[in-house]
Amino acid sequence: MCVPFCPDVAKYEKLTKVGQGTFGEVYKARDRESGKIVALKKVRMENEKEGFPMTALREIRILQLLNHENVINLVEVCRSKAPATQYNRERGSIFLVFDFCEHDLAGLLCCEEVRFSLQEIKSIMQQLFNALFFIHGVRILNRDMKSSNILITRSGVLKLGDFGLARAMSKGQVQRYTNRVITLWYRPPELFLGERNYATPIDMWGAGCIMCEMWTRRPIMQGDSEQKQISLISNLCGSITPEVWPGVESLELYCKLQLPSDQKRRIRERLRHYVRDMHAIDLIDKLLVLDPKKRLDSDGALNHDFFWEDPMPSQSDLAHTLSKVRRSMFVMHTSTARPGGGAGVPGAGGGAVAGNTNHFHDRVF
Amino acid sequence: MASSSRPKGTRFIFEAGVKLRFCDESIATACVYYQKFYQVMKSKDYNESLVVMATLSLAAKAKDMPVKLSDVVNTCYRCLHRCGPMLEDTYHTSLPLSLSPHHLATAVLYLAVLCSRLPIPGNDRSGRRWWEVLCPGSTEAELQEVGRQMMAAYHHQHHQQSTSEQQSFTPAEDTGRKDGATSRGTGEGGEGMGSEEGDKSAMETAKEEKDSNR
Repeated sequence: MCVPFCPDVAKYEKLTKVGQGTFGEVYKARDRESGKIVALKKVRMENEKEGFPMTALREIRILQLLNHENVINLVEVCRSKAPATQYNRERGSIFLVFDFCEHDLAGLLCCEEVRFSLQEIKSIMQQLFNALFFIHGVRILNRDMKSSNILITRSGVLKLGDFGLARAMSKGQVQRYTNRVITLWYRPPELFLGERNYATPIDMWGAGCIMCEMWTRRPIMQGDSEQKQISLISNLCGSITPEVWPGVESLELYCKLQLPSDQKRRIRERLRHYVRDMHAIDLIDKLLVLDPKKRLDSDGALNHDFFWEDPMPSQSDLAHTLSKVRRSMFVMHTSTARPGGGAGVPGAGGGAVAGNTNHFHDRVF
Repeated sequence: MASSSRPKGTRFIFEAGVKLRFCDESIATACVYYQKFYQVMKSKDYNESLVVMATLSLAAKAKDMPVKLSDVVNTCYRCLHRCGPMLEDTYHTSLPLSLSPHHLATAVLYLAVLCSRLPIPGNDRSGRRWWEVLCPGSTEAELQEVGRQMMAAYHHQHHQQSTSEQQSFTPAEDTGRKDGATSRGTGEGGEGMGSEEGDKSAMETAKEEKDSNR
């Protein structure tokens, strides 16, 4: 069969497997002609009864739409030939081809010899908010914010990695999106309470969690169940009440969940042990806000004093630090997903890299 | 712009799309996929109905309104093999006055089989023809007479339609029209008659027919 516009994946030479998620396998590969290094992400078809998975189709469509320095670049879509025998049920596979990124943030943070200065942290966070500002501007929700989905090239350019759970927001009417998205540890409170008409603030919560990780070096709230996670959130951000979050009482699960009461908001006091910079603490405090309507948006974050007070963000410092890192730092564990990883959603599978992470044991909060 | 029009497939997409309750955007997307596909592929290499079903299913996914593959297949099957509308069409003639529902259903099947040139394997063990099994007491001559009357009715309807149609559509399709009128029921005319409510027994016998053909 002749298939125009969809090259054979054999044009790339597979080098190593760099990740595996529920969503599919990821390989590092080289273009046989140009020598360019890419990441190949195989679309899993084994369990599909309804043909090519809609999630993969969504991912491709969204990635084609997104063209930004801080968003992973989809080079092309390739296919592998179906095996010669027609009788087995094996079909050809589809591969998404991405520019290769050497590191992911979770991997770098795990690696103790990698130490980020304040300028470097500012650069990473600024690039992350740039990415979010861009995708939210074109009405795309990432819905899978986590440090292992933040890819960083050797030259210090951050790329938002995985759009496997992303979706476009419809305009106008009230939506009923699924709230079974986002890895548990990065999931905002409104999703636990059954909000289905959510919007861009869900990604901002994740960004806040990731920003904390820049200092704590590990995910700050590692619940092993939804109930546990919501307790951890209340513990840090205070009790969920209509006083701090007007309208929360109308959410579906507000009465059904056991919500801890009389918890004070302790973000600033807890972070003080880790974060010296007052602007940083202030920004985190404005991101990890329970009420999504009051949560800072990406524009607000980019305008925050954190990025405009000395020391200014420095990407060249970041590139310098990364140039000293020899190995690729992926959080790469081919084992199971993170505990409670996204409640059955494809937990990881990192855009260009990064599989699941299973080696965070210490809880910060 | 040599291959600018492929109305047959896209008409089919519209018809099946409406029945599947697709939004306009999904139907339009399916049509674009269909045109794109045939822009680069040779039409003789691919079964048109399969391409239509594939574009419908893909468009539904792309527009975030997925449908089950089985729904697409069944709906398209029913668009292609309409016994229901044909049976309903008998009510536009005086045939129901002179024949029992069983007779009528069998006669419609007979006509459908004839039109689609389906080979029906001979007789059962006792030597009965298939219509005798479905409707004891029916004769071939009787069925042929019903078929003749139905065809006459279609012919009449078709004449009325093709004059009105030429005003609203581009005339691209019209050559294949006569065949279309028989194998696809009344074409557009069947649409408005609500094929959803096709006679249950006729549908069941049609199913049996299909199975016994395998």
